Amino acid sequence: MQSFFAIFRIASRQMIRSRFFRVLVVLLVLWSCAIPALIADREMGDFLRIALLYSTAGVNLFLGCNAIWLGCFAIDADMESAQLHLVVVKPISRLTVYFAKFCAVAWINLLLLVIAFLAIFGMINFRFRHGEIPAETRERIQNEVLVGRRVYLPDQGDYENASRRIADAMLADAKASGENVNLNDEVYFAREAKKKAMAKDAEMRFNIPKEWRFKNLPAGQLTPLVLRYRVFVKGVTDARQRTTKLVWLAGIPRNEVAGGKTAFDFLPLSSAPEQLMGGTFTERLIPADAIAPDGTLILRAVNLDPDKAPLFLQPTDGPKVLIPVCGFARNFLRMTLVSFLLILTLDAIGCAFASFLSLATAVFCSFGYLLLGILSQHWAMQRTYPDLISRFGYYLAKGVLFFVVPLQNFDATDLVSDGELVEFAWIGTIFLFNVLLRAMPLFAIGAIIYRNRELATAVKR
Amino acid sequence: MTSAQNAAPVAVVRGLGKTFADFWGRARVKAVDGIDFEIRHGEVFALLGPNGSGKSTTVKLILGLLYPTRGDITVFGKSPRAVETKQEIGYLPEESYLYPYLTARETLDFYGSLFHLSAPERKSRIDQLLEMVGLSHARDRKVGEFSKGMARRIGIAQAMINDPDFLILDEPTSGLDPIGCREVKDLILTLKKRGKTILVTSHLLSDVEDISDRVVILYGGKIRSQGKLEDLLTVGDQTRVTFTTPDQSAQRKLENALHNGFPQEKIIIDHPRRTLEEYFLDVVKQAKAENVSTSGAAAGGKIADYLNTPKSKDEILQSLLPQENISVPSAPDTAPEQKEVANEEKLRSLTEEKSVGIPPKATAEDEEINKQKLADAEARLDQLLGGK
Repeated sequence: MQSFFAIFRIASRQMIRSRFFRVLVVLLVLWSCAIPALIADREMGDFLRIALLYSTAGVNLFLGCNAIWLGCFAIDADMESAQLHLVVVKPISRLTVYFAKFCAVAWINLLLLVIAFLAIFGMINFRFRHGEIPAETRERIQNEVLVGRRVYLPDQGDYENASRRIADAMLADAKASGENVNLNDEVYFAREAKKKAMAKDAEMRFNIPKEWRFKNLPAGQLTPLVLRYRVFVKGVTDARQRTTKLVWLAGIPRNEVAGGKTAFDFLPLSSAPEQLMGGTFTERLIPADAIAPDGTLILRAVNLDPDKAPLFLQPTDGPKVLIPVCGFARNFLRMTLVSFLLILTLDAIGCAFASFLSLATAVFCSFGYLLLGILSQHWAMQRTYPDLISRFGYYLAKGVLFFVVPLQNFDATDLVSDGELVEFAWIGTIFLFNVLLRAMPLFAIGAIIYRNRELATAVKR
Repeated sequence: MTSAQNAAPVAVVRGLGKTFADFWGRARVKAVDGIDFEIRHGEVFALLGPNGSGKSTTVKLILGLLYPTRGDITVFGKSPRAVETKQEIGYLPEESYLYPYLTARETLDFYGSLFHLSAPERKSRIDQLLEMVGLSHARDRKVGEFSKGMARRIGIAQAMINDPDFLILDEPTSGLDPIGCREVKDLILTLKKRGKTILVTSHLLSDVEDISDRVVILYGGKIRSQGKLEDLLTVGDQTRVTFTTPDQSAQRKLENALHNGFPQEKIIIDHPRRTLEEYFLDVVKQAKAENVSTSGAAAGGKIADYLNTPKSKDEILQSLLPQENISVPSAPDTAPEQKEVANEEKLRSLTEEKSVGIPPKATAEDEEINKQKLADAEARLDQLLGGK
């Protein structure tokens, strides 16, 4: 361990001395303190949410770049300047050198992460405690932003079956009308059918109740639940949104059970129809007794738009049911853990590429790798494919994602800024599928290459 | 057979070849091409050759920094890449590959840590090594601020931190002033006396000549010549006679006598010259005596104690044995200037006895002819001088 720590210390010193690192640290400090310190030009709850989101996301961005750069720099710098020659001719295995440098990068970034996040946490709390905020807003901020709430999503519609049914119907119509249907037409029908199925599921027609069923909620819940959603008027674009009205009803389970199934009485959540702005998130309380003994909660919404226009509630816009389970500090700490996993991953990627490439090439390839992961994830999340090539791209993206880390998976900043709990199960999933199964094999390949490569050929004069 | 010849080889190189390839694996440069040699325990072995002859590549292959394209290398009977092999190796690279932001003390402490030396042991060795290489006054200065010579000295110190059995010195005197060169050469000879094995590469042939037992001369990646220095350098068919000339007339007499005595031989008479190194060292010695100050590296102190102290029972036993049992008779076992003085004394005594030096390692037939020639010459010289 003595030689491990010797390398650890020297690598840390070397990194701290690099100019790139120093510039990044200055930017990090400015970013961490500047955004939460801005003068709030809007409602304090929104401001805190935005300040949280941008400051933590910015820190992740800076530290992510830093982790990649330092990972590459730690491995390559003394290899190219031949200082490593004097190290590896001493009785220390190259794997120890490699791992010690990886740990040094992780340690430095963890230190910066903790400092930056402590600054943000302190600034947010300071603004909340010392700002001139009305009592009602203060309570709302505490319930909606500075909290960790577990998220429950409703059962998803079966888009595949629905779209297949629609596509079959379209195909039958086309054939009945005597059209010559080829493969391209079938692809087109499938795409259109999927769009229609999703649109149909998201649409709330005027005065027709739409129902969502939530499962596995805690039956013994005592405090009210929170309903979070966002509706769009007429279409799912942000442009030309206006106020609209709807009413939410919660199914209150009856005491008696009919035929083994719980019966529900639907009661409105407000005494009058709710007036709200299209395209913005809204939260509303649901009584805790709406949860059935088996953990089921049923919600209904009725569109009462003054112009009888359809409303749209996409799967990503809710409705979600939120239950507070911890305070802001603990939720923030969980987000810090996710950010650290991100740093570990990027550090591992940087080290792996630097093990066989020069510094500049390794940095370039690391960013290329990450871009590939981001694009693949984006492509794989698409729900429609206009043609065969796109479908091929989808499967290619799925294949790439077997071994490439998509950075989107590490984003916990929006959860925390929305007051949603960063679940340990989710963190575990990230650790398993992104860190252990994707980044670490790459890191291990890098270690093998580093152990076996010729060092004296990589000398920059 | 000398003890060095009897000892097990420290490094064995067999059919070693190294070809550098481009990105596509196409062979571009054949740096080393099928070389064979052994480095035996306790000898100073030199690799010589012009630039690009494959010296540094060979050293890097022995260190496991490069891998052979063909052939084998073993160091202490193991692969040069084995971690345990490196416990006994000290390496001074051709250029200063030190961390510029570390001080001299931190540098040695860092490399000492890699050998798992305890903190008190490291401290003790660092103090001794800094004293030895004359950098005690610069112990807390950053290595990046050092002159080339100072960096070389700290490089030598780091190579010695583990008291290595096998020391590889790539151009050890490069960048050093003549005093530093002399100190390094003295250090090498001291280490050799302790039974250390030393591999040296150098362009400065006079340095190599002073210290090495055996040399390999490389050219174009191949061995052009190898063997013991004495065997390679002695000109067997020529004889030199040296003695003091009290005045011009005596010299003239001698010249005439030789010409008359050996009318068929081409005889050259000149004054022996001191080497520039000797002259320079005298000048500096005088300057020191006059207390002239300098901001560079001070002349080194005594050899670090731990380098002088035998490590094992065997070494203690060896140090107690008679000198001829542990030293190589053909190699110098004293400092070069002492050796030179001794040689001069020997030559003087020979001339006083009017005898001529015989080159070593002559064959029996040669010896017979030489004896005859010597007897004839002595007789004729006596006759000529006596006649005057």
